[in-house]
Amino acid sequence: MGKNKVYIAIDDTDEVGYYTSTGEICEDIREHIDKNYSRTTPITRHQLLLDDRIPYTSHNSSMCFTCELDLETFEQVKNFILSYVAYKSAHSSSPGVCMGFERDICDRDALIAYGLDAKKRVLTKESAYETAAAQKLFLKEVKNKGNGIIGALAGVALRAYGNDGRIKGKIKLGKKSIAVSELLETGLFEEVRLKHGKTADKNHHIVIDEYLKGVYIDHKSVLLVEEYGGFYKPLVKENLLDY
Amino acid sequence: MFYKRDNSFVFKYGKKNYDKAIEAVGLCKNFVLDKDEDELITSTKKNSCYNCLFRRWCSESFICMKKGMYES
Repeated sequence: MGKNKVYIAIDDTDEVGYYTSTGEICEDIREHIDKNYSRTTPITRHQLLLDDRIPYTSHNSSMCFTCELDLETFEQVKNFILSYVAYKSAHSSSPGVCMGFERDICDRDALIAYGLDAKKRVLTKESAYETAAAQKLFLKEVKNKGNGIIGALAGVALRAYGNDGRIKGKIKLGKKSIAVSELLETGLFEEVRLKHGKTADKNHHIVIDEYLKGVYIDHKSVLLVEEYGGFYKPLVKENLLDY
Repeated sequence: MFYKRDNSFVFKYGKKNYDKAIEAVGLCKNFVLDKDEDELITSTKKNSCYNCLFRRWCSESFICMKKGMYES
């Protein structure tokens, strides 16, 4: 078997006031894979339900990215992630890890439905295990109560959905403006769109205040912009909170 | 700026009152900027409770976990 696309997601690694976030731990894992095994894709941050009945620390979000692995390297990466998350996560946290080959997912729609449910309903660990088993995904509680498996599975599901989440990190180009066509040539974004969905004019220039931040739409890294006196201006963070 | 609900201190002004969240942090000695840039939700460089490491988002607003520690 050659290399195939693998989803990797983690959740619930911190506690109140902890110095390292789930996003940062996920970034470390991504860098390790990038350096030793495979090219990776950007991490997406998926917002899950905010509800007092869920024991999240501060924002109940899950992180996911993809890479290309074969069976042997999948096992190596899995073992690395489990030990790294156990080591880097907060003492009282309840981390969970989800991983799996895209080609093994039996019912993509059912998996996506689980992810969308995690944004609307309080889910149980039992339903997470059932869904993961049905979709042939690896799902593991790392320590304590292991509630992070619910969010980790939802992270994979929402990444597979392809229309959820913000791209982790901010991109600094070191210039005040750039043509849409030039930005696309950098490969940092796959598309530039106006906030209501229309594809941006490739000849237009984008005025950059400080940095650029993408969202995940139609399985692509997308920069959302708005009209700004003959130019485009990236949407500010406050306008990206629904992603 | 906060009301008490089941021993938690909930910000009165919801999730999108950016001015009030900046005003509230001015009254607080416990503010710590969340180190994860991706969790900072305002583009302003001014300190805001919305960007504090000790806020816990809930359905309608956020809960200040520091107030919960010291004022319950």
